[in-house]
Amino acid sequence: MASKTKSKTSSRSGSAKAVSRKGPTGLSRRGFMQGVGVAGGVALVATEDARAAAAPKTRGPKRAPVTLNVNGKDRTVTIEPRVTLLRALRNHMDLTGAKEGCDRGGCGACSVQVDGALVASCMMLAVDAVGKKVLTIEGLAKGDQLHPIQEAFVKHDALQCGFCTPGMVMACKALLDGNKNPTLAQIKKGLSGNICRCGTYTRIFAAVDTAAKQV
Amino acid sequence: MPKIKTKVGFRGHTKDIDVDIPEGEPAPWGADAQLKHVGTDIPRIDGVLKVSGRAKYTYDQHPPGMLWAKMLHSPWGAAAIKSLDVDAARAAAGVKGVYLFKDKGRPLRYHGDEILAIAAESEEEAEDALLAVKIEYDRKPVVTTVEAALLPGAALVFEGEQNLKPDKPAGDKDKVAAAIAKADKIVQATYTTQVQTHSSLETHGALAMFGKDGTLTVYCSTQATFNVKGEAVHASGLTDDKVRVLAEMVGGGFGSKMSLAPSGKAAIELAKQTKRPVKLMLSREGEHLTGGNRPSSVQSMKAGVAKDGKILGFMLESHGSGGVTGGAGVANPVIYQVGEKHKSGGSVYTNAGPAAAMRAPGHPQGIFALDSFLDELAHAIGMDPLELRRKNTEDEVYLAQWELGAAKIGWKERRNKIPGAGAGTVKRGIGMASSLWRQMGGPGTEVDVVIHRDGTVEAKNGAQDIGTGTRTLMATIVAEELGLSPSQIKISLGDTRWPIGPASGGSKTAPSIGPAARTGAYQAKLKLLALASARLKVPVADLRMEGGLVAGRGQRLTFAEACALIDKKDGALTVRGVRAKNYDAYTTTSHGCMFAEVEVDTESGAVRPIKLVTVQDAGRIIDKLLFESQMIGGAIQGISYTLHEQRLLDPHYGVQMNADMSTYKIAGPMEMPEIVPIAFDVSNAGNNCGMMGVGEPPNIPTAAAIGNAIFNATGARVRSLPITPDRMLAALGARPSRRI
Repeated sequence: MASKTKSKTSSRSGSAKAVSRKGPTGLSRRGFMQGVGVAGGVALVATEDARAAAAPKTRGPKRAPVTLNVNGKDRTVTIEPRVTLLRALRNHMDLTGAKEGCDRGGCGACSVQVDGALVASCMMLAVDAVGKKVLTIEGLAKGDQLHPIQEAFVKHDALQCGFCTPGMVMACKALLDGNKNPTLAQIKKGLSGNICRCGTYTRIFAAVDTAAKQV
Repeated sequence: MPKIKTKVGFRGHTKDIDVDIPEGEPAPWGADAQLKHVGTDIPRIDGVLKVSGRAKYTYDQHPPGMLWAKMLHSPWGAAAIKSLDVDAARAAAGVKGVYLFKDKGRPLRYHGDEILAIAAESEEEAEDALLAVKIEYDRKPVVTTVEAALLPGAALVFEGEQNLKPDKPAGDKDKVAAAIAKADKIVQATYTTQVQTHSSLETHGALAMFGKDGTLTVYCSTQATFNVKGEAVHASGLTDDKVRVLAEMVGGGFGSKMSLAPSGKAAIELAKQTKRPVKLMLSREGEHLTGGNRPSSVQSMKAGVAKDGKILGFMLESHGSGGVTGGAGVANPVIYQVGEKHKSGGSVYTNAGPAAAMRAPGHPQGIFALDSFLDELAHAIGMDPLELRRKNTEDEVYLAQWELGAAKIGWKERRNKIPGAGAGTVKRGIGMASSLWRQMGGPGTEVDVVIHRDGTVEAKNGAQDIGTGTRTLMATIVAEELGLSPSQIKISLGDTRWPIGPASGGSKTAPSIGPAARTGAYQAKLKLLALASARLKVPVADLRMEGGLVAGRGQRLTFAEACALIDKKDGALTVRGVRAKNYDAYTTTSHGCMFAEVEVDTESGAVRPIKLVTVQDAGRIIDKLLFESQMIGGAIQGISYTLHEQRLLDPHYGVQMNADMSTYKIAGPMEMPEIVPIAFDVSNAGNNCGMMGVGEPPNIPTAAAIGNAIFNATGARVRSLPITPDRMLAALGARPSRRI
């Protein structure tokens, strides 16, 4: 049915870990994870830092302010704790680059990076991204200057309808973050969580190859 | 009408023909035309928007005050609504409106049948409210397959109506029998194909907004803005001039988005009810269940073939199911001359979601059967399958394309002379198949070309670009005519405020819009040249526009200087280019073929395509890069259809068991072979650009090409799609002399 309750905090398995350049170390999470969101009956475990700072307090189930660091800027939105990262980005911050293709982590259209790891943002609660650095497709270009991956996508026509493209570009970025010079087999594996219905994969492989020479 | 001599044809096969050109039309680009941009690789002009995440689809629209709507679908394949109580849902947090498609007592005929839609302040609240709907069902018996639906006593999908809707038989059975009687070999085989869902990544949906001024604006994920407008006029009760439909970016369609759809209808009704903007996008599950699908088919073929490879007679009985809709016919027989022929069969109702036209409707399933069958005929008389095809066509384009494709795949050197002869358990083989499509586009499309006094140029049409590259084609054609670069042309598409355009069906968008854009640009050019002529004192006939200049007889102006001559009061030259009727063409057919090399693991049954060579023509190629993208996309969707995709319905309840993106398997990066597109340019006349559309045909031949390659690799014939490992193993087991 159309409705369900989210109780997942997963990053994409396999490829996400494989391409994660760095773990969540080196970031101060103090002060961010002050509360425990309650969603779908699953308590979210606060970090040690946060526990040390204050006793956990319940956030939700009603709307509550949540601050996310997205594309280098802190943004506070008022959302229910069950809201996914994808919906927080799209419905509450108007960052509509990431798309909901399946709402089950099966297509990769919602891919973003969280602390460098590739994540299906439809499978992560927004509150789980608190204290982490979220990078979306909108944060890739510097003003009008496209990222080399984006340039390569245009050059090779690695897109048609474009709906999977933001997720694809993010998956390519995560891949190249972890492997500067991937083989064709590694490219295929790195993008294997993303579906393009128009059928542009071989164009995308060529784009990644071109971009790898530039990043 | 002026008569013009123009050169048509393809590499080494050109000829001059006379065509009648309507008044006001530019001469067609002949085979010898010297063109700067047309035929080259032009990057997609909306590529930057799409790669940067700034492209706004219907799904991305979020005007102030917008409500989110969600749909409740039937959970059963057949049922009646026993009781329905929406009071609790109406009272749920955030809920602002409820729209009923079907009330108590109404029948539900398929899993996914629309029951109601709810609009709420947030997406989550709308989802909660669906759970608060109190509804009871009386479940009914279902039929989910052609075979079950045709059994005596089968449950009827529509009360009082037979499940079978027979087609009118075509051909003379007696003549076919007589022809087949003279054959050296008679072959019979039955092929089945599955139901494939379109699975556009952007689901169906719309945003409806009523304005204070009594207007209605609808953003719709559609491939037919003007169809949607007509339906929105009807649904809203407003007059035509008060309704505007936009589809600036569309996340795929493939034939499934030709109408407003129940989602759009519900959005309009809920917007009317709540006096707020309402957006309703289907869930992925809803999309699988109701968003459209390619019908199944069961095709039984019988033919007689002479020793020399000539097919003497051909019979086809074909049934298919498009669920609760009809239209499950196959395109056979096409391409080849098959002698005397007879065709019968029909569409069969089942308790399943409605079919919709899907990329070359009737063809991929038809060609899977036909081109597999041709290989079986060749095998029966011990002939090279390509040679048998040559014996049954005289079309010089096919002959040339087969030669190209065969050379590229290594037909002579790499194909097993004896199927399955390769050593080891992992075997390789080569196969091929062909495609045909007929679509020239035509009148009923208009394009506004505007040259502004400041030197900017616009071209506008109300139809949509669903990812095929219509924007870029328009820009390329207008730029070519005006001697500018494609990037200098601003294209507006996907808004019914602009001139009328086609629905994107049948590959007719490009060949309808393209020539109209060229006519508009040509007539605007003549107006600008008249101004330049007066300034330069050079006759119009001696002036040319190229490289950003207007020049002739040693005099010149830059394009911007020429534009500055436009009357200040007008500010711009605006011309409406009207698509003329088609005139004589070199061919009205798009030809294509595919050569496949595959690897079959005879122990696991896994089939891995190694290389696909795809050859395709569609008249003159406007943008080679985007043309090849269509070819590649068609091949990839073809791989997915051949090996992976199938809608699985539980036969007892009619429930789709794989209505998501994880268990409805669509080919992904890991499944990709090497794909070699050979874009085959044919100067075609027919319209002033000589162009046709290339959306559908590249999707046609993949299944048969792979199936034939599998036979060449293993000697085992799989006659059912998708060719999953279990079917592959069963076919290997059916070999009389199986030895692994």
